Amino acid sequence: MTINPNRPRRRVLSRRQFTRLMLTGAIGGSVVLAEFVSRPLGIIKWISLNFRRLGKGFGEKSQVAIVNATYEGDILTPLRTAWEAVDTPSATGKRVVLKPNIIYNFPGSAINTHPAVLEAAIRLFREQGAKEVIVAEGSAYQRDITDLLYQSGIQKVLDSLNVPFVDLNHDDLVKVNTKGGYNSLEFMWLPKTIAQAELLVSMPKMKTHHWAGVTLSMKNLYGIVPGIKYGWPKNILHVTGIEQNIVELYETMPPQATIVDGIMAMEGDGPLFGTPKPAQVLVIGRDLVAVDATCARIMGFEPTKDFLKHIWYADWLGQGVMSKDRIIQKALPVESVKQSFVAAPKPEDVARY
Amino acid sequence: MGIYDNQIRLGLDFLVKIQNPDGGWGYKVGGQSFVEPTALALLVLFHPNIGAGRLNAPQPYVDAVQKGLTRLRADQHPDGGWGIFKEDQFSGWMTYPATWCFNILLRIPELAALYAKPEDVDSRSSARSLILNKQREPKVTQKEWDIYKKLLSIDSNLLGWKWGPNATEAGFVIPTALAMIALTVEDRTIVADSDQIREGKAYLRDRACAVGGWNVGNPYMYDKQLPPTPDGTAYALLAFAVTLSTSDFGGTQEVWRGVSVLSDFLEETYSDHVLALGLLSLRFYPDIGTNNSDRMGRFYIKLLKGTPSQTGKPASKGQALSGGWMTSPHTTALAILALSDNLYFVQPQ
Repeated sequence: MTINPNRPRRRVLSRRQFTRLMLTGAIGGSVVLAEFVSRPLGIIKWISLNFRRLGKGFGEKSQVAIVNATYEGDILTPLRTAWEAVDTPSATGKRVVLKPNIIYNFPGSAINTHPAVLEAAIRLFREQGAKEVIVAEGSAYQRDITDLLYQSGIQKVLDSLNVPFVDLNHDDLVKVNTKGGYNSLEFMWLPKTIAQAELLVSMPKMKTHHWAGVTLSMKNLYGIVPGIKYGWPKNILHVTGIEQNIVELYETMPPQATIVDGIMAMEGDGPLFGTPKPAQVLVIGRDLVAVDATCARIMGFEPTKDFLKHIWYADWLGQGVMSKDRIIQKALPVESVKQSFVAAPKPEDVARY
Repeated sequence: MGIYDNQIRLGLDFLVKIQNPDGGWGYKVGGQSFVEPTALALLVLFHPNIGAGRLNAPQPYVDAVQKGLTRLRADQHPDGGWGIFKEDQFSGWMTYPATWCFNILLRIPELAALYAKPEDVDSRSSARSLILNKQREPKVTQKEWDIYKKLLSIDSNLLGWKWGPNATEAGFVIPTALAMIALTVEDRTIVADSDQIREGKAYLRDRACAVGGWNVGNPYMYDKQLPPTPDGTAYALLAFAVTLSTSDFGGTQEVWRGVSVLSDFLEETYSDHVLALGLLSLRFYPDIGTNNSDRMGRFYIKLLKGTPSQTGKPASKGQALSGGWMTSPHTTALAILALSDNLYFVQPQ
């Protein structure tokens, strides 16, 4: 057979070319697939997160202290003991902002952080040489919380210790770029008082919560979100995802420590209508994920992907640790104070309201 | 002469003195300028007898109004709305007080002649359009309606106004009340009986708390009653007062109960802000309740003189020597509106 030099040659892929083509396609397809799978984080963020999670496995354990206390007794001494027992940051020379949980005042309920705990915290940080101690809250249900401060007994503490209070709902605001990218917002407007805090301490009440399961030190961060921008009762944060917003706030504006008021806690239909539950503990630490996981265990709950998801999610993201194996328990062990809280009812989703 | 003219004059002087260099006012003296307190401070400075709303008004008042309006005009977005301040790119609920302010400016001939610009008419129209078309909450599906009715005991087919720009947000009481006021003062005789305002009033009636009064807009949380709050109650009552029309006769039980609840709040409050806002609202219901005139008199004294607290420190401080309340331009503006005999800010003529 002779080859006709004028006949056009058929372009046939060699095996090597075909393999290269398939390989390129597979890599490209994988990148596109990974981009979709990793949304809203994006592939680069997702990869860096996995490195962080991997690194966490070799990192230091977190320390959490549990101490007994009562409102009637001396709170400062057990609080000091707990604070010094764990690797909490120094308050010396710092502008310390305490963020309690103040929502509503229902007589006989255990909704708000107790004024006696707040008072002990103010005294502790002054004792430690804080340059300034400020109490700040942005309540979810009222634009003016002056009366709530009086009714809850907190104003009396502020007056007697001469401590300024900042209403975070009407504070000056700064634009803060979100660090996580978990709530699809590039940035948030946050109160200047929080942004300028040199030591931010979340001081929640230990409570059940119908949507989040529990409301502890991380969920308490909803109170730093300003009402003038995000409305009252800040429901846009529920609409765009409770867990996503909790972990975003924690990553973007992380408090360096937490003091959980679990002396008289709340079980059942929290965060407003639950039943007071005496747990008689204060829980302290600098890793809010570890503290919240510990509090959950004290309440008789175990964080999982399906229950107390924001704790699980924060652990997964490497923001802290929730595994018992990675938490060094100081002062009292969890088992000695463990209770069996009635869980909040899990209603159908009405996050819009 | 009104009985509180001297106090109003002092308050206006305070507002002029603490106006930010950018022309706006903040929630605290020297704080960032925000649209809401700026719009309210301007409303107050428009006062036709004492403020800048007259010929030969004191020059500092005139300058303050011109600077404030320049600030407000500059902060308006191309979509017609306002964010919370200049840097906020998204229009939201502060569009309502800003629109209220421009409606009063354009509605009172003397004010318009002194301070309005031709483009203000178009700006107001685009703001109105945004409020009516973009800022109301979205409709719900039948399935959602059933869920909300069962769990929250609300009629979610009644659409209120939103705080923010998010398309999926619900309406709430305070933005709904402010939007209704902002729209109605443009022309009360026409707007007060419009479908949107009537639906707004139906929304407010539906969201009233079981014991009377209003809170943010959730009278129930699942099967439990949520209590009313002073701010939600005051704004809702103010909206009813401003939008009162022939369609309101009968069926105003929620209003009377709200007045009773708000009066009780004012009796107990230690807050200058609650007193200012509450009185601004209650003044429109002078003939309601027993001994109401006595109570109103007491509330006015509290607003001006303050109230000692149980801790010995003064709680509500009343009007300071500087002329302001709580060193807050926002509270000061509300207090002046509460003290004003002239109702130009809701009944412009």
